[in-house]
Amino acid sequence: MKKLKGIMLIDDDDTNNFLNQRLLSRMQITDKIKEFRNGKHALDYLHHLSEGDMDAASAEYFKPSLILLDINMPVMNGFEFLGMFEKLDPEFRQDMVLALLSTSEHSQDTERAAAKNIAYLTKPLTAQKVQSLLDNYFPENGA
Amino acid sequence: MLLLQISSDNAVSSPANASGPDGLVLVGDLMVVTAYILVAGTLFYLAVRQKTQERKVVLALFGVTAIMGGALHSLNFWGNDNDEGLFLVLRLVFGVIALVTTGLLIKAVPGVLAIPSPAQLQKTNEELREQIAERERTQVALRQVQQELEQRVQERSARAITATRELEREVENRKRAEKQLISKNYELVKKNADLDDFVYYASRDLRAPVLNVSGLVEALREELPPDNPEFNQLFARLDDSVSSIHRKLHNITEVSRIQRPVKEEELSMVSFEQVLELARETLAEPLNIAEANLHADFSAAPEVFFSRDNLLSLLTNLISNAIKFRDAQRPLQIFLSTRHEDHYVVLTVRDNGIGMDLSQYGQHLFSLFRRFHDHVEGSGVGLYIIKRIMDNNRGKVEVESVLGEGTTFLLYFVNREQ
Repeated sequence: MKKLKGIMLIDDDDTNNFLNQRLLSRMQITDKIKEFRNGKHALDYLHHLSEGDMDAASAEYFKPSLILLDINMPVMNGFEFLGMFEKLDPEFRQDMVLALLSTSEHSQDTERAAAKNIAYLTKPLTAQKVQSLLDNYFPENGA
Repeated sequence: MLLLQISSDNAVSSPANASGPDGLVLVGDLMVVTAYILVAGTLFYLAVRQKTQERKVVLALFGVTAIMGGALHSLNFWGNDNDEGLFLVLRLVFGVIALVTTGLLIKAVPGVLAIPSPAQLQKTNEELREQIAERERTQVALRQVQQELEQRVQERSARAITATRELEREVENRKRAEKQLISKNYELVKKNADLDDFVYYASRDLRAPVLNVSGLVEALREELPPDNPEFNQLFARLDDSVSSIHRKLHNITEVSRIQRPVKEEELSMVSFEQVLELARETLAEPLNIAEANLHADFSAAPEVFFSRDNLLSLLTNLISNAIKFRDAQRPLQIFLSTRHEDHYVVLTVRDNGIGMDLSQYGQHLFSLFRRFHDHVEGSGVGLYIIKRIMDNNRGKVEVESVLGEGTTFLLYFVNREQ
């Protein structure tokens, strides 16, 4: 199985980020995982990347192919992040997959996600859920 | 009578030419004439002084008669035999005048008599004065009565005004109390909603740390060497506790969620089949364990205008209720169907579970946190949620149950099909 270029975790909950990073590392689907505490920080990072402000040679900076986004966050929540993300250069964001994470399922949220064709996962994240996500959105990476 | 006397006097003293004793006769005549003139003068004076016409006339007539008497006597002074004829004529004339005058007098008397005397007048006057005094007294009394009446009227109107003011004050007070009640009520409704919101968000926010705990427990299990009976026992208990917290949080979230009014945009035509599929996924594990068979037939009424989340909650709770109270002696069968009845869409959920004695538990069946069994895992929330959701949407719930045979729930949804 081909590894993903990188994964971005956006969640204000440190422990949840830790658990998700641990899960993804153990699944060995990528070598690069970056955590962000809120949507604003993540968006700033992506914006700099799209402008080419980053040192492409540095291992610190990479363009993620998967973004796991918590919905309920301070400063900028998941849906607000989505709105801003859609304003980025379409070419830049075309090879990035987004998935929403939430503690509980609300039909309003799931409908919004479905309308944008974005995966909606309920916590806790499990190997099974990650695998089905990969199968759906990264078929070319399939084992 | 006077005239007759005069006449007789004249007849007696007719020989006027005699001297000596004749002289005495003349003196007498002179005195009589003087007396007559004085009487006549007095009478005329009185006549002038009288105010009433009748008395004037009577007195004047008396005066004329007296003058006639005086004139007859004065004729004696002219004792001239040559003029015998003239004297006789004069005497006759005077007599006639006296007689006529007397006749007039007699006629005038009733008129004079009709005039009240000063004494009568005074008496009448006094009587009148008495009457006036009487009337004045009556008037005073009347005025007094009138004043009393007026006073009473004033008192009454004063009392009426006071009563009216008191009434107005009372009305004002009641209005104020009503306003206070309304604002208090509004406050309470708001506080209640705030409380529901608080419980809802608190329970929802607690989900994340609980999920983290279960994640950390899982991570710990992976890090620790397996096959340690001590650890395994601890982990089993940890898992139980964490899943119990999960379930309770979920129930609290559900109960507080259904207290919030359903927003119009959350309502739509929802398919029973689709929502049942979601419920089946949610309850996949317990359904498996119970080896339950679900039989669904929604062909008679495939859809209902409702909140999707609420319908999912209803089906999930109904099915998990059937699982909890299944009869261990036989495989669990759950029959779901819908139909139209009057202006309702009726959902029927029938199971072949242990059933219950409705006469004993019926009235508390839908109460929050009431449990009637201790052999099954339960929170006493499921049926309460079902009842609340149906009540909030103007629907109703009916239960039929036979102990040892099974239970049937009938949910009546108001049909709002467009």
